[in-house]
Amino acid sequence: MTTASRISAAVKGAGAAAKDAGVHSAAVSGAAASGVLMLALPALTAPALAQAITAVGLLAVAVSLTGRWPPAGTLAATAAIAQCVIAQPATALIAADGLLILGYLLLADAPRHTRSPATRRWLGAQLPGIMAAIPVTGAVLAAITRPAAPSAWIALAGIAAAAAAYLIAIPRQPHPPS
Amino acid sequence: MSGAPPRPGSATAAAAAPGAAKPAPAAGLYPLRWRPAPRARRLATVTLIALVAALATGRAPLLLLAAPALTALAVAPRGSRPGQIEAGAAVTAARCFEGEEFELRVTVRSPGLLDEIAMRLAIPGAFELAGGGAAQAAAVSTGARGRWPLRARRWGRHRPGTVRIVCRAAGGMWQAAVGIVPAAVEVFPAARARASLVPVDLLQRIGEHTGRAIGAGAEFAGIRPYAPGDRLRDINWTVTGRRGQLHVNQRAAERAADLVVMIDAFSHTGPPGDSTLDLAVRGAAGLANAYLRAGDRVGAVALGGMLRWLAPAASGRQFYRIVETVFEIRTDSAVTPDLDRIPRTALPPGALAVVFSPLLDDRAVAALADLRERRFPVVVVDVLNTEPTVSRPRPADALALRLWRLDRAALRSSLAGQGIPVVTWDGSAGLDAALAPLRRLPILARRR
Repeated sequence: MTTASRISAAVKGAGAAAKDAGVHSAAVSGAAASGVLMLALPALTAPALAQAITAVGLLAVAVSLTGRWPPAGTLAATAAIAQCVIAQPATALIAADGLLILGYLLLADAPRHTRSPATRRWLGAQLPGIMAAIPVTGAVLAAITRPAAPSAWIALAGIAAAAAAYLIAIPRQPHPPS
Repeated sequence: MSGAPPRPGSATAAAAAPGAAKPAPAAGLYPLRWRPAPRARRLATVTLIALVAALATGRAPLLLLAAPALTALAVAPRGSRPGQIEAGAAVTAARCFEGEEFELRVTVRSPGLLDEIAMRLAIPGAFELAGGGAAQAAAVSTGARGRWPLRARRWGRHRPGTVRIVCRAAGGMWQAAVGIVPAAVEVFPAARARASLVPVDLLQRIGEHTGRAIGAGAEFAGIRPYAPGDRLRDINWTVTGRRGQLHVNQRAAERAADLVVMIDAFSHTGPPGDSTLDLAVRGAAGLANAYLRAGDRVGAVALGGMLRWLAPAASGRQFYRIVETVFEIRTDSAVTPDLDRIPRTALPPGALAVVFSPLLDDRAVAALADLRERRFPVVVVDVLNTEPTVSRPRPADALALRLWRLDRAALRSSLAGQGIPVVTWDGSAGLDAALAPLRRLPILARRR
């Protein structure tokens, strides 16, 4: 192997490493942006007391992106929900916040130490979840904003539907192979 | 292999050791036990918290926080997850010297598509990463390959860590983990030394050491009158001219030596990798290697635990046999060694015994006296490189330390009185420098 080919291989290797780091950095940047926005949107209308929750949430976002403490992601999302409860922002803002929480939770899970094409494939695999969440959020938003007469039956049906959806959605142990 | 012993530091010297064939990758099928992944738990938790918040506050818009996460959970692929994966781990060298590098390779194959295959190597203290990180991964794939360049730090037979493989499937909602333990790597102690300690009683075998007997060597040994049969080229013309009679130069015979390296494993102190036992093993290996290069016969005796010995031999394989004997050393023993148990072939008369010891255990000191009584030329290499630490400098502590030093000096003096020279080697400099004071004269087997 000549010196020129060695240098060429080293340059190619460094280029590939930079490319790999670039795609992963994009995923991490996306997660960071989603995390900051999901906390910042409700914080715009939140009282001063709730800003402490923003600070805790931002810290949790930062920790979750390092991948050192897995519960940090859940904590950051919980902080965003708590802010929405306290700040009571507009319904459209809450809908956007829900989507941002989802985006943050999915992107914060991006695999580390993978090559660029693999990270791209992984990012592509996340699209169906996000694409499905957008119309569902729109439908829920439309249902909520539509004026309806208050009814205990509707409330009960809503709770039952949410519980059923939750039970259907959460993963279950697979059947043992036959 | 019957050639010369290896040169420590050469990249593939240890790999070329007898029986050091390339290790076959230990591939095997590992059953997967799937559990909900952190992602699924996270989404479910966020959904639950948002639902509870909506119900508790009576504010329907908060359901909008739960809807996206719930949808992501619901649309996650429910495809079949593989029940097992095929994984294997192999190292590029089953044997190496301290400081040398090798590569650990792990291959994972799955019968079905996996969202992520993450591999993390937990490295024991005997090795260190020579580059890259401990974690490697593949995404959206049916297989993954991991490569970790490792550097051996400490002699011994060690496994280069455990590789934890985490597989995620079904949109990252399920995960299963397996652990792979690669085959052990034999790390040989690396130490360089040049043998030059020569016992008086050498073997009747041609070697590289200058003996006392007259022979056909290169070293000048004396002058004597010419006798019929002497070679003409041995005539010393200067002396012949002065004396008026033919005189010839005599030359010393070049003989081989027997060396038995002994390692005192009764006690050891110091940090891992730099303990007295580590120093003793490195020194013994270096000396053995140097003597074997000179064509001498070298044996080994491990004092400590079960008494182990290896009869002196001169082949290139002997170095590896010695190291393997050393690998079996155990330090947890209360047994006093009985040198009578060592057969005569393992400790031949006149063999030079070089004992690497911290001189901390009375049993080792008794063994030295026993050797000397058997008229073996003995040299002790004191490998104690630390002193008792004093936490707070109190007068009593300082006095105790001084007494301890005096006790050590008395012990060394006592050994010297028995005809056992003691040299100190703390590993900071080469072994040759420590042995230099003993090189001036051959090691005598003094009669008592």
